Amino acid sequence: MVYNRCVGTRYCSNNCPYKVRRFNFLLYQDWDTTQYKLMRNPEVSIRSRGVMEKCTYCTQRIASARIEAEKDERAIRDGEIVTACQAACPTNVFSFGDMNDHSSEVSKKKTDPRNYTLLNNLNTQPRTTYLAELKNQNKEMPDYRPVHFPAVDYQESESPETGEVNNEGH
Amino acid sequence: MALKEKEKDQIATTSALSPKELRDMHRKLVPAMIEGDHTFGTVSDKIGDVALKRKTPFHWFIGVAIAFCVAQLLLFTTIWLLLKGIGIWGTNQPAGWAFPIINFVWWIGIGHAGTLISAILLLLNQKWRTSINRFAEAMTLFAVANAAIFPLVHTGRPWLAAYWLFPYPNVMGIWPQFRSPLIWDVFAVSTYATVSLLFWYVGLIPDLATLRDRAKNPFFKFIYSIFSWGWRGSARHWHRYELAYLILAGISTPLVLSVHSLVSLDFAVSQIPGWHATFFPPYFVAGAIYAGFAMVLILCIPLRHLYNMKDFITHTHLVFLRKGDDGDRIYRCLQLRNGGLLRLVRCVAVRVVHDQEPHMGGPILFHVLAADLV
Repeated sequence: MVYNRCVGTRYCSNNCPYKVRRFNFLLYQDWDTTQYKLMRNPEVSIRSRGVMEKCTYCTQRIASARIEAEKDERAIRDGEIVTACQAACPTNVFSFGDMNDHSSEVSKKKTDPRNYTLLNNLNTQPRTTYLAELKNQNKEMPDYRPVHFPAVDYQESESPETGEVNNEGH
Repeated sequence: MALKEKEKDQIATTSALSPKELRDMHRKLVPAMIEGDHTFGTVSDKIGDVALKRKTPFHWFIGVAIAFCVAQLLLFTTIWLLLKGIGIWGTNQPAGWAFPIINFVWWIGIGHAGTLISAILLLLNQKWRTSINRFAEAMTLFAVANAAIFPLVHTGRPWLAAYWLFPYPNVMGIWPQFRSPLIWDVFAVSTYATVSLLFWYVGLIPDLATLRDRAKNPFFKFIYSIFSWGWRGSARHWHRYELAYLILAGISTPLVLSVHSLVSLDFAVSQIPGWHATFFPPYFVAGAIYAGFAMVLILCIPLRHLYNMKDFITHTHLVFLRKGDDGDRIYRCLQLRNGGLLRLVRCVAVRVVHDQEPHMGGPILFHVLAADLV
């Protein structure tokens, strides 16, 4: 999402199957009050009205990590970029990294059988994927629930003859 | 609904008729397109006087006053929109287009009838178009101009969208996204507007020359002289005129179908359930033709009364214009001369619309209602 290029046709938002995009229908930000400028992150541009918004995976942090790596003439190390949500999360659920690097933490997590995508059957190829919930595995305990693998379930629900997805029971 | 049995019989037996019977049937099918005792001279007088007569009729001022008020409202609301942002429409997630897209699709649809009447009916040799084609084309031009407002003002930052959506070589080296139907729209609508304008103007040249010859006021004579391009009505002029007109008709005919197809692709290319549908292009075109013809009627009925043009825009014209009043008669207006190809087209269309695609009956019903209201 390049905010400076956005003219606000809202086509991406209309067509977003996840409906995650949000639009600045009016000017929501106070540009003029001086003391607000101190409050804001100087690395993040303030979006004007008429611009679509979406999670950028903290592009400013990616950019600064890339600059550091380029100065040292090396690749960006795994775990060097920490997104804001990742830094703030008390339960450490997020991982962020290079999907093309098969030794990175995020690549390892993506090979976990609990890993699943949302609406990938529409060929959206989402890069954000999720891990299925993991409950207490001790069968004696009251909060025991067997672990399930949504991606495997989805594959199995696919009819082998027609290739069509059986959506019943979802 | 397929073809009625009676019609099938009629089509089947047509070839068995004698030439005289065919002529009689033809007279019955094609009533006079002009009423009263008119020669070429009286027709020119009557139509030319509208433009050349000194006294402006009172109803003209009423019409202009209404149009002026509405145009001021548009001006006011557009300025407010540019100052405040599109939030003033109350649109919100997840349907981000709402108001502007309705207006855009509607105006583009209205703009279809003019070129349909001009181009397709010209190619199909439908003589009845001549009484109404000029103002239908003018209506097209204004409708397309109106439609062009909405893609611009619907954007969040119209001051940038006004030129960023066009592929021009800029210093930033940035091009629009050619895979986006919005860009296809930009091309489709601007092509359509250009060709419609040319068509309207080329058709107007001999008429402007007539006005030039009749104008008394030297100023208006000068203006008409410039815009009639030295037309003298020689055989060579007419030959070139007919050729140019025919070529333009050939260019515009696919445009009639392509423009609204592309508009519908704005929706159909997306993945949204309810929008992602292959019947959108023909549905939009069919709806546009209905709406456009309805608008021609809205303009033509007061016009023929106020300017006393009932001899030229006869009841027959009105009947032809509302031939789409029944589901299985969508293409009847094109089929008047009973050409074999047209009959085929119509049969196919009727089959597709009503037999193969029964779910389209509902949407078409709305158009039928709208057309009938008119």
